Amino acid sequence: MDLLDISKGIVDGQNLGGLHQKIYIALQADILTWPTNPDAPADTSLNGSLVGDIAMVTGKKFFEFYSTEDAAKLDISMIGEEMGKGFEFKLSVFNPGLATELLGFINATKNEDLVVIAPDNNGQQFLLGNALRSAKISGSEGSGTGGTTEGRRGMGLTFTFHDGNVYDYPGAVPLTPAV
Amino acid sequence: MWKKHFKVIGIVPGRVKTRRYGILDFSHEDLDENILHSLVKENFPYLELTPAGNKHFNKKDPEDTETVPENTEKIIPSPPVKRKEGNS
Repeated sequence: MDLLDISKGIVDGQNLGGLHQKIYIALQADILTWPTNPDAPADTSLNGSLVGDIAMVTGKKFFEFYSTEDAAKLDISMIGEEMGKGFEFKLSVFNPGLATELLGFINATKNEDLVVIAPDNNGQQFLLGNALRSAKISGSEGSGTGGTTEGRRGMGLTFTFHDGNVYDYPGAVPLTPAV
Repeated sequence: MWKKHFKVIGIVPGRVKTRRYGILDFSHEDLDENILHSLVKENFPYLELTPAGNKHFNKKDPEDTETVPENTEKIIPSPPVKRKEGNS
């Protein structure tokens, strides 16, 4: 694979930080086919995006999860020993309130194998989960009623995923059931 | 109107988040056909052209079809130019 020059990387002056206020979640078992890693890319420009779209099992779809503005964040950390480097993805979100739907969602998914798509404010999407490894709820920092009347009431969730490479997911996210 | 030219495939007609255009709801009647056509051209997995759409857009965008234009001119080689001898 040929290495290419890395330029400033800001298109039309756009480089707003943070994530969208909605992320998208599905059960790993509900994914029928997955986008693939680039196959023998000729150069590094072709080595940063997944190829293809997610397809869901019949009757299944992705679900939206709302997060308070500026409370959602994706940390991408390189991990591993020499010659064994990979990435850890930690996605943090906060849903305001303690609605029974939210409590039911957490009760149902806290031990599940999940897939999460996090769109950032510059049009890129990060897919946490693949056919081999799922995203998991790994924490609930900041959850609860808040300690004072000025406190923040709601549920904070952290999703964790490990993968060998970091890719952009350019595909579609179906929010209506597959047939 | 758009449903004359496009057909939703693989999903119940409803919401899909697209990277370029955000969330599109295919249960609505008022979607922009130019947006849908650009999605089809980008191999969007949940949409295809109907026969009427194929006819409509291929007529509008002949460069997208693989047919050879009928008025292609044949290249006729020019006859060799004879040089005058002895004048140089």
